[in-house]
Amino acid sequence: MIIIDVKKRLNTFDMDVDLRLGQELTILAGPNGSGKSTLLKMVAGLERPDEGRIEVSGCVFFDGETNIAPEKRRVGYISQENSLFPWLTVEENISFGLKRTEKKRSKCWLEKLISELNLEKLLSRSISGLSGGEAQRVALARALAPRPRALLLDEPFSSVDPKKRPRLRRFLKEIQQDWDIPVLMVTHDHAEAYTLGERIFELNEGKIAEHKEKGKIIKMPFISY
Amino acid sequence: MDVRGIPCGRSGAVNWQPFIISIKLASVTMLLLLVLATPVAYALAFSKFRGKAFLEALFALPLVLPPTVLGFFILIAAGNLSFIGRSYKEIFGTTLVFSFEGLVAGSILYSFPFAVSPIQNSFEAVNLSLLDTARTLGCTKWKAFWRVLVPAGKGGIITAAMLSFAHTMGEFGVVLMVGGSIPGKTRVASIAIYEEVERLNYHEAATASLVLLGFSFVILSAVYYFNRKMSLVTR
Repeated sequence: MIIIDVKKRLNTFDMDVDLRLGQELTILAGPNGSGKSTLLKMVAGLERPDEGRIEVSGCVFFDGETNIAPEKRRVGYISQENSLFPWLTVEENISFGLKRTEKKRSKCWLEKLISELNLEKLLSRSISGLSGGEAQRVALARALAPRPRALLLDEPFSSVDPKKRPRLRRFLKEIQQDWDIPVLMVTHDHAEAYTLGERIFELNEGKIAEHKEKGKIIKMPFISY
Repeated sequence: MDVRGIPCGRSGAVNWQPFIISIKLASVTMLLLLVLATPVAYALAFSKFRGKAFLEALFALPLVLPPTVLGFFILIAAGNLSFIGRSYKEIFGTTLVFSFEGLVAGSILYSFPFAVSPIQNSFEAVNLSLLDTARTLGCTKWKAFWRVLVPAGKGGIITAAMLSFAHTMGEFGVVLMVGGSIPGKTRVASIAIYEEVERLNYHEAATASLVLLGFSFVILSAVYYFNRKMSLVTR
């Protein structure tokens, strides 16, 4: 369960969002500059709301008095840009978020993760030699390796060849269902939103303009595009 | 005098002692500069504060000031009449001017922009999403600095180290003002060459100059080589 009830004054508008999300894959859609990435960063702890409450799986990340540092929130975050560390190999990137002691303990888990994301043959490769799809699978493995409470994805497939996107979407859907982890994903791609999302929230100027669930559309009466 | 009218000394051999002092001075200056310049470069790259432009201009002053002017200010500031000079003498029992330590202090100020600028540029070029990602993967700001910023900005740090070393090896005005020319103590290579020319020992001066030229060329080649290599690795 993710609770995001935040307010923040931004340069061009005021953000005011109240979301209650379950263990499903939720899509945040909306035009450029509507506050989607800012909202993800708030959950990750990289941006501070002015007021409100953020809670993930029972853990209060922010409530005005408490503001847990990003390193202690244990959320997997994949940003818009390719954020793999180019001076490390694929294997080193995947285990970046694990402490030395955890690496030994998590050996089986890592092997399973690597196998499910089909990365066995890439482990010793350098990042510069990876295709867009391979790089995103590595980024996904790295975000999942520390067993996060939730997964936050900011347009994760935007740099991937469109032909290879359906396969990655299937991967993501399977991982979300198998591991029962809440996923909040930002996308501009309508096909992606409708294929993956159990619920879709359209954000406009920092407010929820439309809320869609599989099979029904709920218009927010107070917002007009 | 030789047949071409060039005055020459008795031996023409290189006196290595000033080179050893220069290398020692350059090594100590380089190490201290890396420690001092890295946090300054970090602050200039990532902080926004009033007076930042003023501070950047202050740090860049040694680039445009004649070394003798900078040396003169350091001489006055570190002399026995100043607070710094008196305090230093009280604590260490010796003067800062005309000592190796004084040379180090002068060299740090003189080469400061050569260390700060490449590190600051390399930090500014680092994709901020790498730092954000590292934070969400369990790194504190300090850990993210060591595990992400330092490897990503390695090219700039290596360039800063090499440039400060090479720049200190070739400095003249500041060391002459602050350290004078005490053989075995403050007489560095560039001053030794100057004195050989003053004594009309052109062959000794030419040999020592060639050594310094070769040394500087090797260092600069290494800077360009590493810069190319690092930009390929971090691209």
